[in-house]
Amino acid sequence: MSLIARAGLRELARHPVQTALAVAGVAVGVAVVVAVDLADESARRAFRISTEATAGRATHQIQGGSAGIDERLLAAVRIEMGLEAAAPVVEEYATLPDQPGRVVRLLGVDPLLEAPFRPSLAPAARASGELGRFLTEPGAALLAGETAAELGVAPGDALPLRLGVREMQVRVVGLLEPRDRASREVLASLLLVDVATAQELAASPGRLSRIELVLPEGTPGEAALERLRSRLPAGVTVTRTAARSESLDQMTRAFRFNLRALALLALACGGFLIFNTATFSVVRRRPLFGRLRALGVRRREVLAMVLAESLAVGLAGSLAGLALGVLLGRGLVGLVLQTIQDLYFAFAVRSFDLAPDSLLRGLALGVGVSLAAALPPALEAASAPPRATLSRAALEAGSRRGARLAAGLGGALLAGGGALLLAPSPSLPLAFGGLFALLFGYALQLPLALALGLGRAARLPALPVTARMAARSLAASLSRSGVAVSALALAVAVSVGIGLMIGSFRGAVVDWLRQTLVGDLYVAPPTRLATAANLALEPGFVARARALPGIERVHALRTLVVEPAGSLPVRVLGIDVDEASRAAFRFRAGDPEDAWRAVAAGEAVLLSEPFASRRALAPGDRLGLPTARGVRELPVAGVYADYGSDQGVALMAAPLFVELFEQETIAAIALFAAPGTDLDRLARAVERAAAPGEVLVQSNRALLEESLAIFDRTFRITGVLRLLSLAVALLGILAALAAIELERGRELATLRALGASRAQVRRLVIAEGAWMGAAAGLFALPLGALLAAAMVYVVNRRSFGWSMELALAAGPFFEALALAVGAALAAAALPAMRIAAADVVPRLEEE
Amino acid sequence: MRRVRAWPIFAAVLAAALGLAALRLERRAPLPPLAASLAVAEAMAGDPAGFLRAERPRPFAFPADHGPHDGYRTEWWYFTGTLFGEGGRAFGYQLTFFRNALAPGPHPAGASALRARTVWMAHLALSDERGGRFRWAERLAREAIGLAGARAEPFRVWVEGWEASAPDGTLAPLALRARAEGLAIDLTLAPERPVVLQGEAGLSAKGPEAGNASYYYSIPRLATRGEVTLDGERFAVEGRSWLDREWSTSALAPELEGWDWLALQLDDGRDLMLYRLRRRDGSADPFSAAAVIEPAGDVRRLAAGDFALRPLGRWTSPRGGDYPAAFRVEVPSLGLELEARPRLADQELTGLVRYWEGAVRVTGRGPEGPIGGQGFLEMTGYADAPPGASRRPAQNR
Repeated sequence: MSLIARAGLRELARHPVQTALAVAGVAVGVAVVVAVDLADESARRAFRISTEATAGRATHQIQGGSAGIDERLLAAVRIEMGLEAAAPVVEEYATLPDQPGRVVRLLGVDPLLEAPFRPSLAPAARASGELGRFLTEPGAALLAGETAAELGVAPGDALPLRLGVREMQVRVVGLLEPRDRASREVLASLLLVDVATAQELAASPGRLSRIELVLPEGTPGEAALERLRSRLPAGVTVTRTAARSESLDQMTRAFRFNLRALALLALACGGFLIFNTATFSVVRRRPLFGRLRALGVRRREVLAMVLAESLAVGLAGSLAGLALGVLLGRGLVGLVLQTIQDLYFAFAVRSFDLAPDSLLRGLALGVGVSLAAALPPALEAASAPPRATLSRAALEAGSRRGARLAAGLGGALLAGGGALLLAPSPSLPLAFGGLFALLFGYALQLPLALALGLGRAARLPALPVTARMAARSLAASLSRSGVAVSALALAVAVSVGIGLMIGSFRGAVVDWLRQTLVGDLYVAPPTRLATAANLALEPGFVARARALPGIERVHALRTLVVEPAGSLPVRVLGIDVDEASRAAFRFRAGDPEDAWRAVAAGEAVLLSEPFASRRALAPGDRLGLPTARGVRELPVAGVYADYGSDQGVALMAAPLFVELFEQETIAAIALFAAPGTDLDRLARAVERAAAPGEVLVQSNRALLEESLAIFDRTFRITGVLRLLSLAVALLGILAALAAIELERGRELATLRALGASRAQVRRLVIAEGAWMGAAAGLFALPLGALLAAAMVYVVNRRSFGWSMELALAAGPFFEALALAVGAALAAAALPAMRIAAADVVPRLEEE
Repeated sequence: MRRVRAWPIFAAVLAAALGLAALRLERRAPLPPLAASLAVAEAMAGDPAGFLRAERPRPFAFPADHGPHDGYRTEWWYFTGTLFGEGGRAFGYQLTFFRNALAPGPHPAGASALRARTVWMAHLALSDERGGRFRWAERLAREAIGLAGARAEPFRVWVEGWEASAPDGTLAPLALRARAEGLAIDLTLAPERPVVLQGEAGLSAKGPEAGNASYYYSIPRLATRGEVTLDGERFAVEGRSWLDREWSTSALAPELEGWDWLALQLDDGRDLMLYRLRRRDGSADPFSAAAVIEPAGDVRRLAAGDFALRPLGRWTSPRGGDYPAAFRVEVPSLGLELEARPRLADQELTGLVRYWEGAVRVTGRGPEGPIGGQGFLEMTGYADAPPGASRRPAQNR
């Protein structure tokens, strides 16, 4: 190792606090990126396993509309159509009353028909006990030994389950022993039951979720598919198995992109910290660099020295970040899965995957950001003239020049970012590019603004002396404080922005729910997950409910998912059109009067906003839907606001729905009570009209609350990321104040020698912290509002197709200010105490 | 005597099938050793309580007894035969239906229509002596929503698209139809002999304990014509079949390793059914038995000491395991000395349970000189499925 490099490393060792803080900053930043990356990859993998892998070698599946398919189709497909590799599946999701929040998948199969679906024959599961019990005993279930241990059950035990509102139990008749990791992941949280058992548990006699097929590749497969399609009943479709996970991947892409972008913010804050540390160490060692250069050390070597220091910090921080990220990722994956489950109604196994790619990406990013952040100070160090021992004043003057330069550069970035955001493009990466440009452009303005602002504050006679001294002193040491304040402002602004965005979003959702939930009571079959794909009410029940006294009107909702060739699945709704239902919709495009007339006449469809934006459809365009009688093109009459799903729906009048899809089943009903009816009593009467546990009756208030609970859960992960960015920024403040402590020891000691008390010095340092916090908080407010606007008007619209108005609530602003000042004060406490406690004499003797 | 077979077969079917269900969830799974034999041993301890047992001779009544006997745990309809195409090209075929009740009694109330207490397995096999080809396929189905089942009148037994059926209960004529990838049969059968009750008036004892027995009858000759298809090639054929019917609730004794069974149709009009229960030490169990059926239908029963079944040579399966290459049959009391040689060496079925079942050519001599004939041989217990065995049906070469 060269002498120069060793000098660099010694520099790091001599200032352990500075070094440790920089390392910690990088570590947290890298940890967040790696954690999100790992969690995202794991989540994707989990969904892939849950969709593709459970299908085994199945290439296609036969699916029905809203209520699955008739089991007799299985006999027809196997015997009359002669498809040997066809197996029934009944799939349900159940919760465990004993373990709130835990979802298990109930997979009903016919073990006798499974052969073509497994990659090889082998009883991976050697079921213990009597094998016939699995087929003959109601409620008999197999599960992986690991899952059994988690759930605390053993063979012979009963396991209580809840499907919707119905409670039941299965009996464990044996354990499945996975042979490798892939099968262990698939088997986790899985209850394997006979197809008949699954039907009985799900109370869906005669129905199958799907029939899985293995069709040969190429022409014979195409021919078989054609034959099959021509013989399937209306509303029953064949789709490729892979399409399921592909469309999930496509559906969740925007969500996952948002997640990664947020994680990068945390790393950016870490980058600021490195920049801060490197700048500080360069500034302080300028005399050293000058002497080195005078001794004949070349510029290149000085540059290398500073960069090597940064590299060491970046490497150490990144490595620590990887370890931390793995731990954090384990926690995050649950949140990511939950969110995707809530948003996209997909179930996933619980799995955590330590993808080497993610780790490498994290390492590269950490080291890369460290080097990039250290480059400006390194260039600065290399440019030191050989003999220079610049005065502090000259140095800070240089720093101010730098601040002006930064402000200019920042202005350009701001303009560019704004242009990117305003550009009419559907691209999400472009929007985030603009967002980041805006952030950094704004952050670059801060050092100059800080200098000017603090300079002015220091002249305010109304302020106490300590505060003015602190302001002046901070303004004078811009080289250290500027970047730290920028980092904190950035983090706080992101926090404000996200807070405002979520608040606006939530407000829009509440408004929408209030307008949409016009009925008094909502009745649906018990849902399996947040929203189930297949819902159907028993027709007799609907008739009985209609006849109940106190009911003025009933709205029926019909729904199914159709899969147009070569496009994502489309959910179609059929509703009763009358005055009350019209009032529940807010139009975004199209004339409501004309649109409703056309819809009521069965001549057109309405599209929800996300649907229209995803498929670039507007009133006047046509939408092709596969129906029971071939593809039908329907004009789009209007687009309405809907936050229920980011995939969106196509809506039509009930008669047209029944005609097109030949499906009478009603998925849910809304009841309108006559004025003065006791709703609780009515709800109980409705429940009594159905078989026990068959329906779920909810008041519109309960439904609203449930929807909002899901909404809040969806944004929990965003909240976590927000806190992590803030943590990095706090490290920045701590580092800046520690630097000030280190450098201004002499100055403060002089103050002490002049008679200032320990308490006064302590107050001074704390006041400096308060200034930094206040400055960061104040600067963060406009940026936060700007970010929120960008997210609400650009990112959300492009990601999910939801449009909404920005609501500038005061709450997040005050929170941000309090947070910034509080955080800075907390960060200042330690240095303040140390400085105040330090002996005066040694500090003065140093010089 | 095929009764011993069914229970282990079904036990293994279930064990393996459950494994499959789990495995289907497994991607890129390595091929682990098949634990079938273990599962068989485990399942054979199954409780026969609640099922009827074959304890004493019973009156047989037709057509009812051609149909299923649901009170018993296992039952089968076993069609085998040798058919000849143009130029005397010989084809052996097998179409068998196995019924296995998993639990006694009716369904619980409110059960799903897919709930099954009975599962079915069917095997279809076709051999082409000149073409050196042997193909087989396997079907499993539950007795629910019409996927599989049996009834007496009009007679029908089916597993999905494979079926044996007759317009009424007389089995005359009887249609066999089955199609799988690479092979198919479409045959019409007409009995040439009356029903023959095996054992003691149809009660065939398999061990000393009461109830360890089956009800067993055969129709040793059915004139057969129709069409067989192999790898897309159709052949018009004509020949003779053998039907075995058996039902019971019993298990293979633990000291037995397997059995060798022969059904021979001799040119002199007589038919022979012989089986040797093989003990683990290689000796023949005293409950081995045989029967000689005269053209008129008179049956002469032979005890274990009245005949000899000796393996000749050795055939090693390409999938592992050694089988006898042929059998020598000696019935001293009738002056019969015969050899039964497989028309193809490899007629092994490697479905959920491995066994060898195939057409044999009979040569030898009787008291009046040389004698020939056709027949079917079954050998079990020679090979457990080895690790890595391919179990894909219809691909046996």
